[in-house]
Amino acid sequence: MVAHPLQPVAGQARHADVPRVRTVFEASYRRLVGQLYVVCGDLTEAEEVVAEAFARAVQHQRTFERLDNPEAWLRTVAVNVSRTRFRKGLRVVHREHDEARRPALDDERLALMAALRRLPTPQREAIALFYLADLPIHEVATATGVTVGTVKSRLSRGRAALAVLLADLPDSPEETRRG
Amino acid sequence: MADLDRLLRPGISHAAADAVEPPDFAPIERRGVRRRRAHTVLAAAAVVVVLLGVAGGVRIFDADKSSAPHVVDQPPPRSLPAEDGVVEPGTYLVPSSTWSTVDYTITFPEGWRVRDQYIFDANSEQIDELSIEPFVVTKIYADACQGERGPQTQVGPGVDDLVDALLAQPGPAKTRVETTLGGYPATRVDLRVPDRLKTKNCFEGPGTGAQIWLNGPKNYLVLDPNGLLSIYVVDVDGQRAVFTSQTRPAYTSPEDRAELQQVLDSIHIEK
Repeated sequence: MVAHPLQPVAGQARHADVPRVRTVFEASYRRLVGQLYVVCGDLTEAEEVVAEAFARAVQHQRTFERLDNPEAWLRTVAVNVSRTRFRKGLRVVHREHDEARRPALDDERLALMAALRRLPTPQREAIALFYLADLPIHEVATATGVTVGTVKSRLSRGRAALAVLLADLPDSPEETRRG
Repeated sequence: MADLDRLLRPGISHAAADAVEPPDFAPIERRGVRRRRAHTVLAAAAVVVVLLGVAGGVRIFDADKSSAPHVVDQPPPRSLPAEDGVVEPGTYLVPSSTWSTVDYTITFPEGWRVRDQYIFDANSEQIDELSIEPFVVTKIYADACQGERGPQTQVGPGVDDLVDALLAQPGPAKTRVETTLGGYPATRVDLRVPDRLKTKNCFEGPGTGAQIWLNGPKNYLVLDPNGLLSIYVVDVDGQRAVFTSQTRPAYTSPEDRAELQQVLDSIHIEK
């Protein structure tokens, strides 16, 4: 299991000879892929956008060394890369050729992921990062480049849309409710 | 009905994280290092060019005023690199392809990059801040707000066919400007997302811009909600060529936008 909740990487001790980006890669790669999976809905796509974010971290190593929260920087870059690839239609290739590669999810959660894909991008990103990746709302705002108020609005609209999309899914009353 | 509170928990991202193993970091590192080195080389090259220019200027200043003018040979245009990344400053020959009906040359200053051998942008982390793309267009969305939720309209092969279709497309605010590009007459259609559309629930949701056309898997033009999109429809002796530029005026400096225009102005259509 990947460590959770988020541990800040900035303050972690590391060997002086090891570039920070490698240390962050070892600590954060899987968590970032998990977070980007809920944004993209495709595991291979999530791995590719996270790898691209790390390549850009290497490219901008001096900047990266000085970041207070390098994982947040990587997440923002990865979300941007994901949007660009979505716009350019690059994600379709994965869906067609890598259909079988999925994390172990039950039917309810597969239905949720399918419903998420039908949401408008901003609502999907907000719902995915806040609820499914469990990020604080200000980090969702940072990752998606909007204000906290906008994130709240997108969460509200997204929840309403999801409720409609998942209306036919049977409830499981024995499960405990969140919070 | 499913209990949303119960479903919307971080278990999915944890399961996805558990399903992957970190790949070898070395190839990722090499990719980043290669880009960084390209930047360093370009910066050094720029310094050398400036120094040579200064030295040359001094020499010219000191030279006999009766000497013949010095003619500098222009290097021939190069081919674009096969891999995505920052391009060396200089002039490149881009042959006609799926993306362009014409051959053309384009000259980049420092810091521009190429993706997929046809998308050119300034090397920014933010998408669509400064970008140039050629397109081959045969259809556009009937309504830019509805985008892929609605049908597409076929567009005839002429310059006016596309210009008229763009001007008639519901959604963006438009301005038509007669200009030139690449040495040929062109009509430029400038598109912006009007405020009323920014708050409307378009296909991609509020704040996500407008979809202009989809002519293939990668041939996809989206107007950024904060962007200024210029579509140049060029009349190359009766043949239509299409180039687009996009920038975000609120996020770019006048110098950045001047550089974008400089690159656009450098385009020379070879046919």
